[in-house]
Amino acid sequence: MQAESSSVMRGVRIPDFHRRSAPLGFSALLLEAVRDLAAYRGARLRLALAVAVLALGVGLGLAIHLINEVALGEFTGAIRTLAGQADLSVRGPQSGFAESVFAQIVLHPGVAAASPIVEGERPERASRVLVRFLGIDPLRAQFVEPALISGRMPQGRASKSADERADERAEARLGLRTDRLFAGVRLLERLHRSIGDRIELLDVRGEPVGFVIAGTLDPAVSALADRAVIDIAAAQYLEGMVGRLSRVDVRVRPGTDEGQLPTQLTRALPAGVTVIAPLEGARSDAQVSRAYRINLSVLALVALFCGSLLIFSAQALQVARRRAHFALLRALGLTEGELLSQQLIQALLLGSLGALLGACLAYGIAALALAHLGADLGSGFFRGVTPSLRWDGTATGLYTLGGILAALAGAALPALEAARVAPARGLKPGALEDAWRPLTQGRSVLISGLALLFAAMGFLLMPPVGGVPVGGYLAIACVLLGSVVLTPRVLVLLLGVLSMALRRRPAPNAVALISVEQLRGAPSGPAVSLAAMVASVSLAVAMMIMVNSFRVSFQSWLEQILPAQAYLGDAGLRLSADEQARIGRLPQVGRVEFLRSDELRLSPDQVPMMLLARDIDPANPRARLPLVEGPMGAGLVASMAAERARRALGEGSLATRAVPLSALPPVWISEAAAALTGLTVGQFIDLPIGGQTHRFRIDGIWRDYARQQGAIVIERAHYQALTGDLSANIAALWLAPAATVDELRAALGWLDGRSRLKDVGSIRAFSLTLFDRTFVVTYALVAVSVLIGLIALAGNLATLVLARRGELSVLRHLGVALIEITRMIALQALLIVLAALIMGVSVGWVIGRILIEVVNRDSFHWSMDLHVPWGAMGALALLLAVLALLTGWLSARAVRSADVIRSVTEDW
Amino acid sequence: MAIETPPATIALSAHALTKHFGSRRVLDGLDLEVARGEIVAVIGESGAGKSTLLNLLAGLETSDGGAIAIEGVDLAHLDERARSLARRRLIGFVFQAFHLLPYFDVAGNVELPLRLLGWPLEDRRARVPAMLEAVGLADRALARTHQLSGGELQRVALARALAHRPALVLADEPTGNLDARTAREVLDLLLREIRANHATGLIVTHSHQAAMLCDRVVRIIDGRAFNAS
Repeated sequence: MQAESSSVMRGVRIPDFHRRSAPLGFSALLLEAVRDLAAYRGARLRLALAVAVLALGVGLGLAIHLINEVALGEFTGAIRTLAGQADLSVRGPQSGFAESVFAQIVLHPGVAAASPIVEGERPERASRVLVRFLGIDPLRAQFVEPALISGRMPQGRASKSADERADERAEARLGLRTDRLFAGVRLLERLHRSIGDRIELLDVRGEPVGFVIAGTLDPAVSALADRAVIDIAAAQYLEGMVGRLSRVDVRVRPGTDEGQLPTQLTRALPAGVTVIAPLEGARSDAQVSRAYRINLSVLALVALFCGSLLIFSAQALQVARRRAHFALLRALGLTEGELLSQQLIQALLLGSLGALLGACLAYGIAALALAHLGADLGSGFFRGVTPSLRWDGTATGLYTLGGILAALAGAALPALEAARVAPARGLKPGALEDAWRPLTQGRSVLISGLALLFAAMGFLLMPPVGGVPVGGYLAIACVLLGSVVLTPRVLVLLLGVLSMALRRRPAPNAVALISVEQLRGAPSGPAVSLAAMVASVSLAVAMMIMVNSFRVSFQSWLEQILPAQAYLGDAGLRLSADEQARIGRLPQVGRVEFLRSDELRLSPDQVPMMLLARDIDPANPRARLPLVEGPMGAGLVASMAAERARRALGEGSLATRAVPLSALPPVWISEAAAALTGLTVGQFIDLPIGGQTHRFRIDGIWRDYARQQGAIVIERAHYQALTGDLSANIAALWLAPAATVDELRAALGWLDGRSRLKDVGSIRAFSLTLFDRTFVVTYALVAVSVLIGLIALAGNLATLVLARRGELSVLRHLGVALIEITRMIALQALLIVLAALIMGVSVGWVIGRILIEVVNRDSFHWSMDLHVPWGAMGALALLLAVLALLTGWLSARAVRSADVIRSVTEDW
Repeated sequence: MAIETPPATIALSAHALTKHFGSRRVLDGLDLEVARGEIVAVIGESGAGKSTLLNLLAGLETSDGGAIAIEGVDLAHLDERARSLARRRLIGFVFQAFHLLPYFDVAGNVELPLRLLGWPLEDRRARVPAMLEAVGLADRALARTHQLSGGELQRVALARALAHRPALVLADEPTGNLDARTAREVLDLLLREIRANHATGLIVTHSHQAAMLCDRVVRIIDGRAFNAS
């Protein structure tokens, strides 16, 4: 320690730097930084809150990362386990493909081994627990997916006959018989069954099929914990897929060109059946959730940004208030570099504290979220994945570093300002306002702010990069930073207008005028804090606008997409033509429409799209589909989105095909399908249906919030003609006059066990519940944003009152009553909040539009209509105004002390 | 509001004033009367209670005992708001460190007491230039406070203290931050303007020379006032 002795001035320890002969070392600067932090009067709460917000930013960001990484790891791990040693996987639509394909594959000279699989999910009769199963041929699976046939067999009994023991040995060797089922340990728990018990699964016709639980799957393989393995023939029977397969896993013969084999195999396969590497498929499945994960991470960054802004605000006000102190330190011999280092070390300490707390918080949040929201954070991705939290050193280190950097970034400017204080000028009265004058008057600040806003406009034209709306995020960052930079200017402008209006009144209220003039005459201090408020209010408003627009659009979409009064079925249900006719004849049914869904794989590297064959009138598709673009004319925004998609996909993509042929049958593609293919209305699309490729004319683009991977609607009659498949998954039911849903449910009792009738109200309510769950993190961040705004306001006022206690004392001497001072500070708080609301709502509206028109479109490929939540925003404004008055009143209490009266004896 | 009828010539009277800060007794039964138009210098050692006396007289602090009347207004019996209104109307303050409000220009600072009293615009427009003229700063009306020298700042402070024609001017070390020559100029100006505005003055000072220029000198010793002239 080189500054060994010190003196005391107004309670602040002043190190005797002039006695030293060498520069201060890091340890000495560290000690000075800690001592200086301890001297932060009136700002400790603000600093503590800044650290807390920083911790929250790091905590949320890291937690989201941890949860997603764990979920993704489990997800891809499960795919890897289930695929076993397979090099390639042959996959078709959800309805599967003909068994004959297997023969083609297994006979190919490049294939060493192939294993056919049928995947399915059927309810257990007694418990109604859905059982996900894999139907395998154990003789073939042992060479490709050995994990599927490893596990525990029942213990032998002494009383068994020789034949029984021979059978068991055969089972152990072959693994399965058609009535045997091997279950994962977690599945057994859910079923409340054990080895040797008998269960019945309901097949697609609703008939029970009996199985004996013959053993458990390897408990070490977590991917199998929630599944069952049965014989492939039994699986085909259960799923109504006799003669069909879901997929074939392939081991490539050593020495075969693995690059060429998929192409060779695909050539021999029917349309719609493709060859992919299993992990590639997993990656593209995971890709679907990427946008959601990135959005959540960006939201967490917002919290980090706000924490950084609070650090900036706290440090900036401290630097302004303690300008004379810094000038004195400089006069005593502390160099510019040493003062800068001291200030940055303080930020480092605060940042480290916040980041470390945040890292601890992250593991707590992640554990809670995994327990209560699931690995998908309520989004619906990674269904069935139940991971446990793991330590991730790299991510923890990176996020901790990010928190520290955010603190340093927030403190950098104030630290530079502190270091540049000229000793002579800084010690003079009136220098406080000089410190931040460039913020309100500097041309470079104005130019920087405007440049950021222009840059934002440029970024908006940027196409998504790898499906990520990088341009949208950068535009939001620029708008936010630009508005924060311009906040002081705008504040001065607003106060100028207000001052002029007040002065024009013949007898202006003196207290009101002083309030305005005090802010206007020294706007830099309030402006610095106002920036934090503007940022938080604008983010809160942006998220409120986006979520409300989405929610209202979603509600409206639900009403359009679910026009009937009740619905029956899901993807797992198969209603035969006879059953459909039987439903149609029920006296409780006024009208019924059926839908058959299947998956379509348009290319090996894309997630399969949904094919929806439904009863629809081609002349009036709007009656059933929420069209955003169709024969009636394309919407401007939809056209812009299509253009952005085309640019993202690049020239020469599907989108550039010539427009043909009015004679083709129509299809209507979802916005996601349009974005992923680059196609639009009036173009044609080739779809692999029924093992052959068929060409269709795109007649419309419709809004679909349910299938992010894309969906295509075709006429059901046409689908039946192409496939011969007369079955249906879903029935939309309109009640006959005087009939009730309960009566109809009772009349459909013969379907019990396969599917249960749901009234449209409960489906919509359930969907909205899921929607709100998806946005639970967003809602939390809105609350955090508002909280940050209030923290900024409270800190701002407390600091201002402290910094201006001399001025307030003069006003008391001039005869301004305490109640008037209280009103004055409350009015200033209100003015700051009003300015924050004016600026925050404006900026928030812009960011909200970017979120709606760019980020959501590029991330999820869906549009939404703008619905500003005036009520909620009004409530937010009212809440902030009331809290501002309250905060002002509380801050004004400090003026009551005798110390304030006596501060006129100080040279402030 | 209790208002006593004072003798017509008494502007300020303090009787048996006591004030403690914790266990320390700062004023101990202080008596003081100042005639209307009289300018009294208050001297005493640091910590003698001079500034406390000013704060009590201005109604900024409350005494532990005794009575104060300014132009017949008994401050002790007024609530905080009424004391503030009385102070606004009756008293002008001059501080050692000037204490002009940095967010107002020179004219705005001088105009402030008039605004607080609700003077009409025309009257304010007439009074502010007159006061600036009187203190020799007519050409600096639009200057900001950080553009002024110490002497100029205190001249503006004098103009602000007298602009609303107060009955009593309380000055706490008004020349303490100035060099000798400027201090003398400012003090002369202060005394002249107090007299010109027919006000009463109470000037706390450490300067014997400054005290000698006043009509009477009062020394505070052990919390009591003694005539020293």
